[in-house]
Amino acid sequence: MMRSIKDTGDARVGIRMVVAVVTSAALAAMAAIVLSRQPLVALRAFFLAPFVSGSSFLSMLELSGPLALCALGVVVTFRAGHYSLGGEGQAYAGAFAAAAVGTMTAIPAGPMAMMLSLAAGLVAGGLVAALPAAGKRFANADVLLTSILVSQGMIFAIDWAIAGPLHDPSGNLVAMRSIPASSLLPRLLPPSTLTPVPFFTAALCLVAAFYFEHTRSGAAHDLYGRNTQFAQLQGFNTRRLSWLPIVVAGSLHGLAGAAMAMGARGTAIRGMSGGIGWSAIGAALVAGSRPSAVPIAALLFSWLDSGSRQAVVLSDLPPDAGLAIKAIVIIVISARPTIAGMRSIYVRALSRLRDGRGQGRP
Amino acid sequence: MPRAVLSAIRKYYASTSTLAVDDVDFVVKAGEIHALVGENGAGKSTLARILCGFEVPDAGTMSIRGTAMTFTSHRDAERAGIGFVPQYSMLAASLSAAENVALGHEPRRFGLFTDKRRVSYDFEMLAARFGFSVDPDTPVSMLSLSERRQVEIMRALARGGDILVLDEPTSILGDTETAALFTLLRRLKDAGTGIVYISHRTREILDIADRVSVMRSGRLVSTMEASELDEERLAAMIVRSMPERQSKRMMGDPGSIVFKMRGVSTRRRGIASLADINLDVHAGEVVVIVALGGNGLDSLEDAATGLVHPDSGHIEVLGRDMRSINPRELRTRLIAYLPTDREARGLCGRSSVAMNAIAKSLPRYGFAEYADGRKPYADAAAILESFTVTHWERRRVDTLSGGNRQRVVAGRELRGRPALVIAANPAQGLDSSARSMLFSRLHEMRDAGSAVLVLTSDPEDALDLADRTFSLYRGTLRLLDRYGSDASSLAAAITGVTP
Amino acid sequence: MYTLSTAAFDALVFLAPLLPAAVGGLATELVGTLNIALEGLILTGAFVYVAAASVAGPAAGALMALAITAAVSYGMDGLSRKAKADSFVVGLGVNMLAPALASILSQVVFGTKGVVVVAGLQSSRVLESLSGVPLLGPIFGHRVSDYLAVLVAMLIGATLAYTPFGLRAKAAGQNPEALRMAGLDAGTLRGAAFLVSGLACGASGAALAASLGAYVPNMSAGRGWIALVAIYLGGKGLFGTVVASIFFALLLSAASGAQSVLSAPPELLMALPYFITPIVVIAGSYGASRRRQ
Repeated sequence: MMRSIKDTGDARVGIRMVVAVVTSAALAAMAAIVLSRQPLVALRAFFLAPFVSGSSFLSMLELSGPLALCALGVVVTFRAGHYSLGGEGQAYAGAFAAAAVGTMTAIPAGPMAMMLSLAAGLVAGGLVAALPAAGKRFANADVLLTSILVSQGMIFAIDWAIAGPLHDPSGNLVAMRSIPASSLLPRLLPPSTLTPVPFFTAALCLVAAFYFEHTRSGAAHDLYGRNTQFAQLQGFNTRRLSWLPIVVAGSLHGLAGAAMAMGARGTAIRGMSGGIGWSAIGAALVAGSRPSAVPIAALLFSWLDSGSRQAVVLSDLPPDAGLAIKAIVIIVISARPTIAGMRSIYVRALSRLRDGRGQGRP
Repeated sequence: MPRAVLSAIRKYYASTSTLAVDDVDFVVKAGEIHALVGENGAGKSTLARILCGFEVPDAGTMSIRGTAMTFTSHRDAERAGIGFVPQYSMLAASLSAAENVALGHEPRRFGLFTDKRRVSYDFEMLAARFGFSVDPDTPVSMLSLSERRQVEIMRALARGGDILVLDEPTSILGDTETAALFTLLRRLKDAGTGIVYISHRTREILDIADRVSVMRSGRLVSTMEASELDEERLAAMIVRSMPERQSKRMMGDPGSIVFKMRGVSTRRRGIASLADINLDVHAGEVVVIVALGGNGLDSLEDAATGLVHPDSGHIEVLGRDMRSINPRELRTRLIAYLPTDREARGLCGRSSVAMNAIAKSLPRYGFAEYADGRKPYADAAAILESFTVTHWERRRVDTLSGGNRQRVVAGRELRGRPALVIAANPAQGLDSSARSMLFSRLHEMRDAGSAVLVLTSDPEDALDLADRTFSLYRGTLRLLDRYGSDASSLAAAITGVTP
Repeated sequence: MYTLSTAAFDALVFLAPLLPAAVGGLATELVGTLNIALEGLILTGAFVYVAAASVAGPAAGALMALAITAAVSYGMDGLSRKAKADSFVVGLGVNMLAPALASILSQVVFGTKGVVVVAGLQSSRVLESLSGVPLLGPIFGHRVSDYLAVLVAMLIGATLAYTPFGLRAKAAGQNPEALRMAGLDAGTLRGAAFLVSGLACGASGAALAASLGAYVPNMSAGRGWIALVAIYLGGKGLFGTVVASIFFALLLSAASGAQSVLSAPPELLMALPYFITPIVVIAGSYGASRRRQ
């Protein structure tokens, strides 16, 4: 086995994933039993339906693609120490740009239009990240606040554009004009919605894993994110690292948005970003900020999404159960109780039971 | 009856395997200033912290005003009438002087609101009782240093004022402020307070103290009346007796000037921390600058390594202004830096030991070479082994002990042929074999042509390393002797004895 | 007709729900651990208000909103401290959980995950007759809920300025050594700060919901983040935070007011403050880094 110079012997990644999966399953089961009027149907929707039919499994896989792209973006920017929370607006901008380009009459429909639309999404996402990145680079302005404000502004602006000037009145959703079918992402195995996106994303995650583990820039990236002064003293290009990861993350989110628009939906729909920015942060945390674990974490989250969607339709499960479960999973995995800490809690609880009502030591 | 009697106090720190206080007796009398004196690490701060309730001794007894006592917290000690003024500011800058004194014991109106008038009134009563003159309502940030020290002393006296312990009180003060402080301390002494004055500055100690106790390596060396001492004798007692020794002299004459500082001055928190520093370091020589804490050594470290720009003056490396050199070239080729603060500057705590060992040489690897990973790993192994760091595989560097961490830093930095090596407190935390190995390495670098600048608080480093030795006292540099220095003049210079 | 007094009036409407969150968040900033879950906590307050008020009336609704949001905030911080969880991640989790839980509970209690209108819950306006008074006119004629929200903000401000807690919180953030010497526990202080912040956000949310008499999904609409910006720009001071909050309230009201003056679309104008604010933040940072040189 190739010895890695970055290996710190951290075994927690695997445990974190297991805890996330177990917690998700337990919470899904609880939600199905407590919140729906037909618990058995809901349970089946979560634990059976996505795996029983090939088509539904593949559609679940397709859903995980854009989420994994966004989660990869989160990994890139968080590992550089920049907590950019603007993913939602970046993805939405990507979807919007892709739909705008894809429906332009000046461009003939077909693979060329598809590539241009995807590129437009990538650029749009990067542009939304540009202001926070510039703020960090030139003014050392904290990325957290600037990124989320710009993102929120973009959401309002794009909401208006889709409902207003670019609205397509022919459908019954508030959406832009549909992209011509030949410009959409190719369906690999109809009737499922599967496109090349999840595979492309998985490949990109492998490239990112290689970047972080086996390139010098990747090493500098991590060192900068962990101790900026140290990175400065070792002579790394801290100037570039102060803005580039933020823009790259934005572009990845934009590409994900474009992929959403150019998949099954076929266009940009108002509100379609649907919390992907926040889910992506959760997925990145579950993956322990490791690109190699991102596709699995994204698959876990898309399982929660598709399972809860089915359960909503079939058994009256409240629609946002999936989101609530994701949020609780994030909180659970962020806790890091030490063995000693847990033991002391256990001992204290035992002694309190013995002494009765916490009267303290005799 | 004495205010406080400490007997046979012992304190051992397992985490650093040091016996900080070894069977020490110490008495504080009313109306007397008792100086507690020693080098960095002699144990004086630890003993004082035990007296003030911050630490619990492993063995020994304490009696206050004749009653045996044990303290579990500083609040216990405060209740017994013992006040503590720490070396560095413990004031909250935007709160007023009166609010700082009242913090934690705020008088209340209707049980809920701070009784602001009472806060000011209590402060004024305290000031009148001891003869202070500070405005109660000005925010502390707008007070002068002298006034801030007064506020800290008032805070310590507010709960009783039987005993006052001051830890290096003049380290942040200039000459006029020190004089004002001493007037104040004498007035307190006359009012009956027992004062413990911790310091290493001989001139000041003989000026203010009635009795002097010297500690060295955890033991009490002797207690004498100040009238029986003079500066040289006291300095010799403080700095441990060092055998005259020959450092490994350099062969031949030093080469061209590699590092130059001209007119460098900085101010920190209102006082000059560096005053008009002029320094040349040549290739092939070791320059050691010795200073005890609070005299500007950390400012000098910041300025020399280019991390903080001085308020005036300029710095050149190889004839070029430091600010104009490309950072990558400066850090990877020109300057090797062993910082005092290993955790913040010398290491990336969450990264692996191996990565920390080769971080500086990353650009030297080719793409394929680094991707493959065997050469960097082998290089890391070689570096770590040459500095005898064991059990380093698959670990974060912050899981290593302090001594091992320094070895990792040294292994990484002291590689190749940098033009200038800046080593700040290099032997801190190292045992004697690691220390001599590090020093041999520094001499090897000198012999290979590097210029070596060592900044240290330990005078022994100068004796073992230096070709030229300077002392830094209150921001002023003084060359001691062209070919090293003898122990006693070094001791005198760093404790402020006038030549 | 859009006049200066209309602008001032509208600004106060925007200010009322913003001010408590900003001032309460300031408490956490003072102790050194900024509460980033303001957005989620405001939403919590809004939902709890509507849910409780639909059963037991607006007064009970307000009290429940304050109490429950305070408990959530305190519990969130307690989890971070006891389980050594990253405060930042837990805050993000709460920001995600609040709208989701609100939606689920809304479904369970009200049978819809959309807008929940409760009859007669909309807070009524008072003192409208005085709104013609020159200069001070815009202060009158607002809803009771808005006045109460500002009152809560003032009470919290008074707590920070006039009680020992406020003093200790300020000291904690500036010099932990000061707390140590005074024998105070930093963890307890932090928990109290988060409690206060939660209470304040509960008031903000309740005011938002009361002004509409309804719960609208995601009705906090970024106000929690704007409150954080107000704290950041206010330089850790009470006065600065209030001034910054007023500035943003004016910005938001100008955006909505401009709709009647310009013929630009409303949603686009609402987006404008969200672009101007980060520019203000960046300019502020630029100034700060210049000064440090």
